[in-house]
Amino acid sequence: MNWYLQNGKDSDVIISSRVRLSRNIEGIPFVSKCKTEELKTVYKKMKEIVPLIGYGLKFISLKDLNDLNREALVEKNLISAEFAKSKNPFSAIIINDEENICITINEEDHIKLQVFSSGLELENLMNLAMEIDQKLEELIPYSFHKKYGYLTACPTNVGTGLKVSVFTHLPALTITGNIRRFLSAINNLGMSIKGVYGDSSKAEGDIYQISNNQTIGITEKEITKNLKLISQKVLEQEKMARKYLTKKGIDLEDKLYRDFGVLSNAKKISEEEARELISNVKLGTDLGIISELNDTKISELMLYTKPASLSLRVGKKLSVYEQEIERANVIKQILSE
Amino acid sequence: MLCQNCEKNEANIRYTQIINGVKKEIALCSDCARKLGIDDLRMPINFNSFLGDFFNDYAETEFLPMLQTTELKCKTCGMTYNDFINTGVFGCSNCYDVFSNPIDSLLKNLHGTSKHIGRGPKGKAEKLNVENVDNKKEEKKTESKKEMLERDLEKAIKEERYEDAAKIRDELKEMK
Repeated sequence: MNWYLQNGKDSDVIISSRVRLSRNIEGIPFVSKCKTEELKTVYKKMKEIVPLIGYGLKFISLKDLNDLNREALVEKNLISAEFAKSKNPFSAIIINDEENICITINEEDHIKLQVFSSGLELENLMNLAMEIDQKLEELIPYSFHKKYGYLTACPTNVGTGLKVSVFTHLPALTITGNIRRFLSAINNLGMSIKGVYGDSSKAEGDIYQISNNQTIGITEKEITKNLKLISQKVLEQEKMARKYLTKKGIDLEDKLYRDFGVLSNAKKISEEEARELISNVKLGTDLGIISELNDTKISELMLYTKPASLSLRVGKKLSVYEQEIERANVIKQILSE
Repeated sequence: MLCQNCEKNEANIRYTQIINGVKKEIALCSDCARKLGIDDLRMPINFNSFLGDFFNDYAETEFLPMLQTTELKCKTCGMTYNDFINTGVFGCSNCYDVFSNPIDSLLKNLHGTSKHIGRGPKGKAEKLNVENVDNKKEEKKTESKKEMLERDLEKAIKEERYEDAAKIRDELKEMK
């Protein structure tokens, strides 16, 4: 089973973790200044060394993926929306079947190595990323500066080139009206926290991404440790808020079960509405209030209600209107499995 | 209301166009809006230029007066500091040395420090060769020179100029 459908450590609050390393190849300009033959050199070299890296990794040229497949990768958080739209003929991804390793080629930097896990798994992910990075550095010369460390196109990544992120589900902090204060507290600690879906005014589905800002003048170990500490604090606060909510007894049960009722009985439903309802249904399941679901089903609901993943599951490209109908059908399917 | 373009789906986007004071309004479904290229209502902020603005504001303050007087330019990729301010990204590794002064202040502002203390690569991988057009041209040149010499050699032998032939043969040997 792929990592994003699995249940991980503390995944009632920490949905998933990601470690990302940005790297460039010595002697070749960064992607934005690359000539076609330079992009091609990077592309060919990476394609050539894939079997030497191991981990069941495969090289896939982005131009061989259709729009739907690219969007599905974005929905699974494996590549960025900008990269999915890339027209560069030498853009590629290196990915394994489990999809817990995804290396993008010729995005902003030549190489973006990413590893993923469900739940809170920062040390293990960090070790895996370092292991792959060490294999890569035997095969390709990295652009490294004795003062500035690993050089990246954007100065916000320079030094370690490391961004560690956790994706958290914070419905109780939201319901209890504490989320804004909480967000600014985390920002003050030198971390960035932002809603993953929706706009700045409302984080749809109460899902927030927390990641490190500082990448230079700090060791990889410290970055990981800081993120872990923050995650544990977040976990603690959200759990406290959840505990407070459960004291409300029937009021909370009523709210969560009503949302479950709409989710499971709707005949057509938009992506946004599904996201909001799934958030509360997940909360209800995690608190043991809603007993009709389990963690895998929640993960499936979260994935297959997204447009491209839904279309791929149904097996054809759907218009927005068709999506709303099929989304309601797929939700019923998952619930009755 | 049905979409005025396909007349099938429910319209959920109202698009208003004003050209030379003539106002036209049309109701569209999201599918048609996408086809017509007007679906991007949630216009994404160009993060790079946003960063660039930040760097620019920063550059204009008293911290970096040197930037207004001399325009630094990276010889490797042709990037100027102004280009960086516009795009938010550097062009190549060498930029980090060329713009080292402003970068130091920039990194201190962004990260609190400008000195890397993490790990570094241990591998000694060989540099990549970019097969560029110039290389191929050169190859062609040497190829044609070789052909020319071979022709000369044949001619020299025919004309029994053995001294010349030996010279050409040596030259050819050197090329191999």
